Amino acid sequence: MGILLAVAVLAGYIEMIIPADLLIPGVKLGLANSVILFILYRVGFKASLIISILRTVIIAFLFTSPSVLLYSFSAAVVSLIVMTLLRKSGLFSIYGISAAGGIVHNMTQLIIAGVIMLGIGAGFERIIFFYLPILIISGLAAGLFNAFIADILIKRIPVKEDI
Amino acid sequence: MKNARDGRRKLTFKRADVILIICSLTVAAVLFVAGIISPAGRLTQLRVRAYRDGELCLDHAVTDELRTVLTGHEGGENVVVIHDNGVYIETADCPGQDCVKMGRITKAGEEIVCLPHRLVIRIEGGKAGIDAVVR
Ligand SMILES: [Zn+2]
Repeated sequence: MGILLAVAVLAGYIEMIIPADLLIPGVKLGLANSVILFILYRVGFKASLIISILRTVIIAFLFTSPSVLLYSFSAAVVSLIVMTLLRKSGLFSIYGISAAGGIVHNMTQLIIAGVIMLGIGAGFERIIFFYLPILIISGLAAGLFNAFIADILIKRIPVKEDI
Repeated sequence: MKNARDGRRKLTFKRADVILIICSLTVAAVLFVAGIISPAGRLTQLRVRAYRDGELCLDHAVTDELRTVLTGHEGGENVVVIHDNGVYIETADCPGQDCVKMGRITKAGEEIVCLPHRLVIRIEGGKAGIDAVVR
């Protein structure tokens, strides 16, 4: 459990060093999500939720500012819940589940940021017609990429007990 | 447990996966195209307006060169440059630097947001211009 948490934090840290969000602010790969996805498949919902929460808190206090926590925390929890429910439905493969998780992750952040942005005078149109489509596409791409990584992890890393 | 090497990389998409992907791509494309088609306005007398916490703090013609410092929430500073019919934030002391990365905007309706400093810089005035012309 400790190791998994360390890996999840590390993945988030590596991503902060790589300036993946240069083109469009807020667009990130979410590498740590592939670790969370792996935990969800291999250990279960509770473990992935705990690690997800701890990870966002640690990242926020160590590397960014606590004010970021509101976005990262709620996005992580909401997307994890959605992924868990979709997995239970049995309709989707890990790719669909991860893609949905990525999209929901971005949408949650956009909703929170959008409320603040509207409060400070940003245009509603800009949020809906510019940020929303970009975040849908980037969430989809990141989700598929993370599923690819998690899929490899799941197949390559043997475990004693599958729960 | 199956031998990992047997399961050579083949993507095992289910039908629901494909539907999900197509749907989200479609929604994104429709929104994007709708945003481009909708007359956010171009034309005459574009103004650069900046808002701090929703209150107007800068109103300047996009055609007039300007280089000024806007003080945002909690004393944060953004250096705003209006140059060659466009606006951009040259430097800022906010964490993340998202506003600087947003780059230059030139069209009506486009905006630069600095969330940490609670600043919005937007190009406005297109619609009024169109109305004036149509009349
Ligand atoms: Zn900024």
